[in-house]
Amino acid sequence: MAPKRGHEDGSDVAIPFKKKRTSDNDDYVDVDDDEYAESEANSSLVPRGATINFSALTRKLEASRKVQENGNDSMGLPAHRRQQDSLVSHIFQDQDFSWLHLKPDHASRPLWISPEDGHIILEAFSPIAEQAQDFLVAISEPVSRPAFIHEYKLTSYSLYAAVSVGLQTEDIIEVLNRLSKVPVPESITTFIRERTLSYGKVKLVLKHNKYFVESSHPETLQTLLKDKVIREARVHSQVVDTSIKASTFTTSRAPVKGNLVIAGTKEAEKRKEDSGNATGANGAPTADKDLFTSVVGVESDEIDEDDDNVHAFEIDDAKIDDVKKRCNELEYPMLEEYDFRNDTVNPNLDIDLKPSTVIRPYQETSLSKMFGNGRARSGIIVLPCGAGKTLVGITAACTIKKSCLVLCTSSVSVMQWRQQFIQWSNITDRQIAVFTADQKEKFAGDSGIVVSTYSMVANTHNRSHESKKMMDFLTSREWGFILLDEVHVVPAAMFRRVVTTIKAHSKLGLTATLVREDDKIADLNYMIGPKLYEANWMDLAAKGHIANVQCAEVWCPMTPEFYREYLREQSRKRMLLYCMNPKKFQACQFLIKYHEDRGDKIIVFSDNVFALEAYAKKLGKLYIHGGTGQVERMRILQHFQHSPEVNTIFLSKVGDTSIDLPEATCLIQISSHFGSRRQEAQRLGRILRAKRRNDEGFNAFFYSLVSKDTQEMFYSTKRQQFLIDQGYAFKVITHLDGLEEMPDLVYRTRDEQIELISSVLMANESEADLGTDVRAGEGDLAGTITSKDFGMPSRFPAVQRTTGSLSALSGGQHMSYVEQNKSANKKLAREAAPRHKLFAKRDKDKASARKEGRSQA
Amino acid sequence: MKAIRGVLLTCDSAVKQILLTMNEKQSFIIEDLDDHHLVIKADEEWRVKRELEAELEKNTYSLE
Amino acid sequence: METSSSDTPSHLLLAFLHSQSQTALTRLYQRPSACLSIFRLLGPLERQIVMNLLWLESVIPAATMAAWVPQDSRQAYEHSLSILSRLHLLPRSAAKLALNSTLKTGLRHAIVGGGSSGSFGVPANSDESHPPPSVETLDAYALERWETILHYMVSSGTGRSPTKPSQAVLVLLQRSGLMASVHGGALQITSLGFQFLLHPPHAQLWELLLQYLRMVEERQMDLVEVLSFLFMLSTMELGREYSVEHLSATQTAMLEDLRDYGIIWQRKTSPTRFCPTRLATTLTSSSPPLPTAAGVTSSSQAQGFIILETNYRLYAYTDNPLQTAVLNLFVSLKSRFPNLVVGAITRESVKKALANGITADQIISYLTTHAHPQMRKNKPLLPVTVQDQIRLWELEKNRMKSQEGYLYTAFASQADYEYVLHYAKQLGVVLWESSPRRCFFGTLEGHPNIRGFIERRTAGHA
Repeated sequence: MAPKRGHEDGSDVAIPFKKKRTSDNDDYVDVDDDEYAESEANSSLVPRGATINFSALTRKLEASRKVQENGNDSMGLPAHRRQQDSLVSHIFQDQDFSWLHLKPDHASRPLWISPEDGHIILEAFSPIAEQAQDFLVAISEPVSRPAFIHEYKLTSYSLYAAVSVGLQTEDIIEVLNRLSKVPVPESITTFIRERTLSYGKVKLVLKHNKYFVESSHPETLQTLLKDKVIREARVHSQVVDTSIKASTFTTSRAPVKGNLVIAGTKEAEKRKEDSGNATGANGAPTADKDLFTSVVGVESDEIDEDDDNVHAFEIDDAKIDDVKKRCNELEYPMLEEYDFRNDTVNPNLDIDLKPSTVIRPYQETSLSKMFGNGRARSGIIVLPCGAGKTLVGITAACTIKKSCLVLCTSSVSVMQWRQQFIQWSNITDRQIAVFTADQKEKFAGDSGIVVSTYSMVANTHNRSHESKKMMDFLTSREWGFILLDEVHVVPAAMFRRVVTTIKAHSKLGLTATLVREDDKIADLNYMIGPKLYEANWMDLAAKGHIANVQCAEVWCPMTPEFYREYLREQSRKRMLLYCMNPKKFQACQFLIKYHEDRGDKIIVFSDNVFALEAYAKKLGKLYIHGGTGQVERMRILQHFQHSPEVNTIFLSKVGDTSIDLPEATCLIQISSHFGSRRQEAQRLGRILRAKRRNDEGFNAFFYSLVSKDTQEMFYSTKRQQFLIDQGYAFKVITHLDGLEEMPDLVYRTRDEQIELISSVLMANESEADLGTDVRAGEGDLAGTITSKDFGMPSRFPAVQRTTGSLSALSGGQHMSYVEQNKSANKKLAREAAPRHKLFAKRDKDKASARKEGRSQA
Repeated sequence: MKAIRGVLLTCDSAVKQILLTMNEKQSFIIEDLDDHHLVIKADEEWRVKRELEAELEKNTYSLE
Repeated sequence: METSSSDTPSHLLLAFLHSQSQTALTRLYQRPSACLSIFRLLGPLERQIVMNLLWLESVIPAATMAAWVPQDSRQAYEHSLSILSRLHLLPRSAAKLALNSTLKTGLRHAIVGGGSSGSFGVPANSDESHPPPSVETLDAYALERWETILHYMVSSGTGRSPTKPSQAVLVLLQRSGLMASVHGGALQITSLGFQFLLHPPHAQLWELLLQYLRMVEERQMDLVEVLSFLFMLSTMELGREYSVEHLSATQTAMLEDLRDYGIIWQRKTSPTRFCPTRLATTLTSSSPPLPTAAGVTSSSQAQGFIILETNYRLYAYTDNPLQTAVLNLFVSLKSRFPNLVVGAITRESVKKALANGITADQIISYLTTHAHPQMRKNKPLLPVTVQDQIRLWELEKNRMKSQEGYLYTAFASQADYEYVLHYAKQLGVVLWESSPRRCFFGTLEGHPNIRGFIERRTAGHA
């Protein structure tokens, strides 16, 4: 059985501790266990936190002092050190933990724990760092994970998550203690106990379309029922004796993982191989071990076995949200688990990964957190962009094998999800339907998949008849699984609507960046569930799953004329001035040339549309923004992907997500959304899946062009913080060698620069706005940077902008300027426009699917 | 011939632009020499330094 | 130590010896211990040359020696010859090369033994009731004394009251410009002092001793006696007791000073004998001058204790208050565990260091010298981005330079302008000039002269 194996894994951690001085790495301390043990007796003489070698010295000194008089008027080194210590201890204020006692074998243990705030510092170079990281990521929030030393933090949420993946209070404390150089401080054990004892005791279970609050501790249910909100939400489904009503719950057996196999995992493959010769009885899969190493052996056999029975009471599904929230407030957050294998009410969906589909180890790890006990736990999985979140979602759906609803932020993503489902799994076109402003499909048969957007499901007003019918279809069913994409951008209110209108047994949220100070974490925690897994970016890059990226911030000095205006400008046009800085144009031109010559494919990002057009035209490159027509977009993207002539495209915010261009190997940002750390991470994500990432010595490049001495510097530093904590390093480039010598350097003369500034000064203030081209289409999530019907015919043309607008606004009287800025897009438009094959096929498929849907209905 | 007592400031062009802007609010520049040099009133030196510092500080992001 | 192609010799002390008279040096070379010590302070190439000449009984033509030198090393060779000749070890620019005969004799003695000058010190007779102190005792003593000095420096001005070193040490610190008394108040560390704290211990020790040597004359001590005593100490054996009987009066007087620095150890009850500490015995060697373990150094020097990450966080494996205090000069310290100090390099912390006179290069060099072995996997050692940023913060500080003076303008004619400018240039006081604008800016110091010049000229015209 799985739990037993888990226990064995625990010994993996213990082994290194048994060896003394296992490696040459522990050079910062020279441990002499026995001597140290002796000296602890008179530890008052040992300076706090002395390393062992030193304490040995101290001891000898003391001994020698006893036999011979001290020749000098010296106060003695230990006393002297203590006295010196008082001179520095004030620096640390309440963060001075030098009084903690190092364990004798601390050198072989990889972490320290702060008694004050639950900060954990991990030596990532320790031989057992990998296990320690798996454990820490399960119980705490990663704070920073660069090369050598990682930091984590224990929080209420992280401990809730730990409990929800099956870790037990005492196991958490024990493993922490095993890994820690200092005994786990009292304050921390207390905190862990307080936070976890009540966690994981209560589960929310959907059975036969009814919600039950379930627990193996009847007294906990009684405690909850004392609360007015919960009591009133209770549904008395059975006839009960009023005298003992609080103690009569329905009772059933507790769940265990048993022989659940996650689709696509090593275990699944093994199963297939073994199916011929192994019998069910002794065929407990050895791959289980792999699945549970991540829990560092705390998935022990005690789990749920102290009480084989679970108790439950039913609650009104209209009050689900209230009850969940209330339980959170009472510190009894409800875990949501779905025992899908024993769900005989909901029809199975015949879905599996294609044999050719391979999932990566970290994807498997993240899924093992979700399916650890044989049920589907609800929660959130955090993976960097480009690390294959979609496949994780699809694999989860293939494991649960029940009807599944996928919600994303835009209709573009809807199409991408659908396409990916068809690519990775054996789902047929008839079993997967989309529900967007344009298409309202139902799947054929009694189970299937629907892909839609949050807005389509959450918005109640102005629904067309068709939409209403579709919503009835969605709300009348019981869903086995709901997949929530990009959960970090969805407003809480919208989530609430989705969660209360759609009945789903299990929920999985996916995101690349749960940026920490986001207070949305609290909402997500009770509406979806705890964070089940968060990947380590550097680790994935080191293993070749995502590309290695060289990041650089290029400082572009403002020309005196631009800076003069910048200093005097109080309006939003300040931003336009630093975007349009001629030195930035030049840097952009230089970098494009440099990387095109190297054979890179380059995407230049600009949130500001005015700058986007000006740059693209000046540099003679193709560009896409919200106002770019559908046909033109497809043509541009196709050229970028396939033509050796088109190696650079300019994208507005529409390209932040939703455009998958694995050809791109270099990104240049010329204007961005203020200090958004998430956008920075998302943009980096555009090149993480670069096709060439596994080429020998391949590096992708990520440049931010920043105008010096402007607000942009402030924002730029701020934007980088998330990535820096993931271990990325931004090199500052103050001078681009060879830029001055470049032939055809734009805006070389002062006259040209002055022309440029006059065009900026004549522009409307509104031109400084960011993302003006991106407007949510019907069904798209407003205000998210993934919105706009990208890739589909635009029914709601956004900002009308003609390509001639710039010359009209600006120095149009200068003929050369107009000439130079002729849109490369226009030139391309004259060429033939073949339909992208994906869309051609899609049209055909759609037609046949509709026919199918009609005949079903 | 005139000899005017003052402080010669040598700076990059961005700093010079900031100084020129500051000068518009409260004049302290005696002579604008070239792209990188200014002569200012000696008794304004400390105020100018302080205000310049504050201006440049606006563009830096601190972790804490 | 590498011999650089610049004019600086391989050791601080050699530069000091260069400035001494030939007579003084020859007196010094009469002691075999001094010969050996100086030999050890020389760079590898100089040592090689000396060894080549040491056993020759006759002179050899300079050309013969030069023939061994490949063309591309010629410069380094010439440089070494120049260092040796300035130490009067070789004749100055002679056609024939021969080692200074006094040194030759002394160094031969030092190497093969012989002679009975006692220049390597005279061991004290063993005393049953007072066995010599253990090496641990000596190390602890040296550490305590040395750290007291550095801690006093680093804590000055923080409002804390560290243990005061002896008066003699305080004078030394003040005279060497490492500390200064502001308006007659308590001693405060100077920017030179801050830089000093980031130097390796060996360099620190010699910086102080050099100051000691510079003050020798005004204390009416014999420089040669002082130097030869230091050299004697540097050749002594750690853990052995030596007798004071054979020391000169000057050298006996030095004992107290050296005790204060932690260089020698003496029992109060038996002032007739003394022990050199590790600080003494390593003076002219490349071994670490301070004992192992949590000390300021050796273990940390040999292995390093600082991890600096790309996210600017710094983790220092140390429990040493002095190391912590030194880090606090340029790191924003956050928390401390028994064997770990956690902090971050921030703009504020670096700005504070820069304001104290510490340079970006010094910070980077300190971090490099003390980098943890794990960091050695990195190439380059420190994250480039952090190094760059520290340098950029330094540049940021120097964006505006101000110089007080006078703007000379409104000249009647171009000739007038050029005439005055020429004079000012001769004085070297012109900071800025523009011929088309017919004006220039001169320093404050130059003004009285220029005014006088103009007045004289005007008067002459009148």
